[in-house]
Amino acid sequence: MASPQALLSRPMPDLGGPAQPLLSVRGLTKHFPLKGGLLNRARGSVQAVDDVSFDLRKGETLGIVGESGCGKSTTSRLIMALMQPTAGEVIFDGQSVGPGGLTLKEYRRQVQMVFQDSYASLNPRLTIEESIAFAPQVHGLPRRPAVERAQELMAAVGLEPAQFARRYPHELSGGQRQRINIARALALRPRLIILDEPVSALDKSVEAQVLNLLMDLKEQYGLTYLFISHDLNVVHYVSDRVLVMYLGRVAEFGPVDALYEKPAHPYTAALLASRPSMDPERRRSEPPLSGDPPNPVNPPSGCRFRTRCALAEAVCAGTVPPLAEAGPGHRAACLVHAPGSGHSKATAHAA
Amino acid sequence: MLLYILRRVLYAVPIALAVSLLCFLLVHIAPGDPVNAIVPADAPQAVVEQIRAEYGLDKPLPVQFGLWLLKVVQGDLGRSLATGRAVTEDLAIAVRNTLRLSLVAALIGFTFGTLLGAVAGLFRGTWVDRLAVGLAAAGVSVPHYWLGMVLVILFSVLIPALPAMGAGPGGSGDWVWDIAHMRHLVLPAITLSVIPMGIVTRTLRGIVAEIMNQDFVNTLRGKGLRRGGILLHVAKNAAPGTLAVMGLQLGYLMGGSILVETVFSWPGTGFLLNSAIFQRDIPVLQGTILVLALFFVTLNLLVDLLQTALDPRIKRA
Amino acid sequence: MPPDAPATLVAPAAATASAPEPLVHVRGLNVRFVSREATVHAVNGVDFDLAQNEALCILGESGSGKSVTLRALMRLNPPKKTVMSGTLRVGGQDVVAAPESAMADLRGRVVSMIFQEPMTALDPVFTIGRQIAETILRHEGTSRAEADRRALELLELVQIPSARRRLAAYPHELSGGLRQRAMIAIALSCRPKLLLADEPTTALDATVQIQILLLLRRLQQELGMGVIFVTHDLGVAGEVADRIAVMYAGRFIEEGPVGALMRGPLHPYARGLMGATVHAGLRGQRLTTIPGAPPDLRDPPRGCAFAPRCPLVGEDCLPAVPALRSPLPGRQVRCLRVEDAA
Repeated sequence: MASPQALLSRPMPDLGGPAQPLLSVRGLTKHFPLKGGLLNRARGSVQAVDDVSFDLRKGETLGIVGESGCGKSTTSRLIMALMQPTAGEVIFDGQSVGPGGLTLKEYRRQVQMVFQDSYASLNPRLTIEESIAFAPQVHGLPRRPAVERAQELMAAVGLEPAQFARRYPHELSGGQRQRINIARALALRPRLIILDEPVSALDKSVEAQVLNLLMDLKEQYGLTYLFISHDLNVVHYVSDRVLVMYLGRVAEFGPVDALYEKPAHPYTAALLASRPSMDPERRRSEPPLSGDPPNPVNPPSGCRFRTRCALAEAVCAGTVPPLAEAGPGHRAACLVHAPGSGHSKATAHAA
Repeated sequence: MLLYILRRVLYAVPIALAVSLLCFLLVHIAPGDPVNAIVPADAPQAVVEQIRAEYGLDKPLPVQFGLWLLKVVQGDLGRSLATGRAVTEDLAIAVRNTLRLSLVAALIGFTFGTLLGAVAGLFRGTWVDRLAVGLAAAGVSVPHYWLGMVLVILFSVLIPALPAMGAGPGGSGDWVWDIAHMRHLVLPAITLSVIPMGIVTRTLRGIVAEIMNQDFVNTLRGKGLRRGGILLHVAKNAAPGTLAVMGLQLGYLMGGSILVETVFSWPGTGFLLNSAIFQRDIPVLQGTILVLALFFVTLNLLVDLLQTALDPRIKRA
Repeated sequence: MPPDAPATLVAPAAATASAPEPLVHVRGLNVRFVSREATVHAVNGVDFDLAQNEALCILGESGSGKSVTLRALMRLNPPKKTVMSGTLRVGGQDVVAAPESAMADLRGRVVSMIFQEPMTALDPVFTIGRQIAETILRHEGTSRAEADRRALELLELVQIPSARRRLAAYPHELSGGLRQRAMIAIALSCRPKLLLADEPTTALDATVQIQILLLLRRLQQELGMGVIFVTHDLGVAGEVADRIAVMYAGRFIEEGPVGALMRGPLHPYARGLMGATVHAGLRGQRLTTIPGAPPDLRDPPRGCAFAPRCPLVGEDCLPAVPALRSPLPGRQVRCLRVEDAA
């Protein structure tokens, strides 16, 4: 067994080779029970995440987009094992996470997370340097090399160690704090970083700086990103593949260019069409969708989007649409794309 | 809403049961044989045993509790060991006296507390605020009985303006809401009111200041509302939290203050409790504690329900 | 004290002296926040006019002074520590020195505001209907029944479905989009001439944001209001504005018609900001960024505030704030490096 120092100096080795997904999510489900009635018994549940499956390839950036209540943040917390799933499992490089597989400590060494709120994520009583050096020390790295690593990482995220090491979080700007959060996430030499709205609280000019930094770090440290955002343009910019979620389910999944150019799910199309046009001469005249996303407490039967969908037919209420092929590596949970589904726009027979 | 009330009432039942068990046990866990308080020290053993059996003190504890509870439910709290009168009789008088005193004290304390707290919260950082905070701190930290004695010295001894003892001109006779009786109420009520005054001031000041910092106050200004219109919004937002604190304080007041009632010889529950403790009068002790505890539980329930009714954000299911 | 732009600089919209008073008239507006520790120079010499029926968008990043400027138009900045100077008139009424009672009469009737976060901007313990009706009661002295009837009409105007039922709803019972519609209904309840909107769609989902933007644009045209939007989002500006003003360190550094400005910003900061905005077609390219950070407004620089971050900076940028110039017809910019059109 190597010393923790040696172990922590580089990422854990690749186990299954490049073809094996770094992360496999299988049937991930999270229902929060709702209580009420005379004796406060469960009366139903919020179906925050419902049967979500996907693979994350080594070295890619997978973007997850969706609106509030779509389950993207719950998904990230489930993957990070910050909460117990109702059902489903997470497999990291071929090993399951939990009893019989990777321990949480081993898993969290390899998977780190960066949150939207740069201030709340940092301990206000620790200096920047202490914050970054904290996790390596917990994992057994002695103080001196941990501090050295903190300084090296501060430089890597573009903050001069001599100037910032002894400062406290409240003395930094939002962009600088988010850089520190990124440095802290890198401190254990992880292989996967989950970025949950990492630039949403930042000004545009700072957002660009942080996005450039994230792209550089990915290259430099050979990282894989799971990038969660509500901002379609940012997801378009950073992602190789994109997962669109709606009310706890996967609506569409595919390569970024195919998905943005030829969205297969009506919801994806509406979401993309909702972006401001950036051209005052070609302003939108009609909103693509009306109303708000429904409450995930009592989601519609069948296809959850059917209540707002222009293509909805009677069949959509009775059948949960499977993720049907919509192109190479491109799938959409819409009956229009499921041959033989009975939807008038679908091909009549299964191929 | 009805379902909610029902559920809250249902929740109160086990609490009430637990409270009665506790106050039943409390007396039995305390050292000293209650029979000794009734019979002379040199009484023959047979007499002691007879008395013990008569009062049911020879049976195992669970049976004693069951029998006692059964009687309690029927409104029988037993007879006082000291006087032989029904506990309910003595208690009814004491409770009424304490209610009179505590309601008047609450009225004084809540009125001044609300005024001071609202003004302090609205004009935070000004001299009015500092004055209110000072008064509140004094109210909470000055010992009751000491203040009571100072007031007695000042207004009964040095300036003999107000009576220092009893609940009426005839000592503890029947209460009438007339000047002669109410003069007896002034000093103890003021003494009792300072703690709730201080606590309500502090709480309301915090609540109002927090509300004034909220975004919607800006919206109200943006709508052109004048100070009065904005105050209405502040009041409705502050009401649930303030009422909760007031309810709790009212509960404490109704529990009667042993110290203040003793200082002023006010024949209330505190006074009754005091003498029951010294006389080891277990039925009186149990009855009084039980009634006071049930008061508290009921009051809390009422405050809870009131809060729910006032704040639309609390789910009413 | 920072050197302000000379007051003689006048926006072209108000060039002719005989023209009627515009809806909003701002000259040399300064807003400072004074506390024991420091004085923050939040707005430093802002000049502009807004015509009835016109939609202006103030674009800027946090700390640029855009929200402070907007609140100054209603004198809604914290009264105790705000010091305002300059000329500021809304609907002919002076805002800088008017007594508080005159301001209270103006607010909600002539000018009203929509805030960013409808959840916190609405009173949680009053129903939506009540919050609309009270504005009408305050300014028009109608009967309660009449105010309630108008409240219903307003909810229908902002396209809230089952409006009658929603009158009795509390803010937390509505979705984010409906809450913002209710906020708009409150703002419009007395048919103001000027509507101010502080990042009105930032807190909303993408599919809801576009609905609210289109609603605001339609209402502005139907009701003939002047509208001033504050946003950090160029796309939002592009959907609703007639003119855009870009703010930096408390000044308008560029101003012009929305199309021309979005196609070709002139000021180096405006160009940098647009280059840094992530949009389609940038995939695989490195994003351009603006190095450094905005100046500390407790101690603003004497010269061009953008100079320390500017790729075109020269010695002449440092001694004084560049004046607003008009290098192209209809465009104004506060930069010495922008060449005049021939």
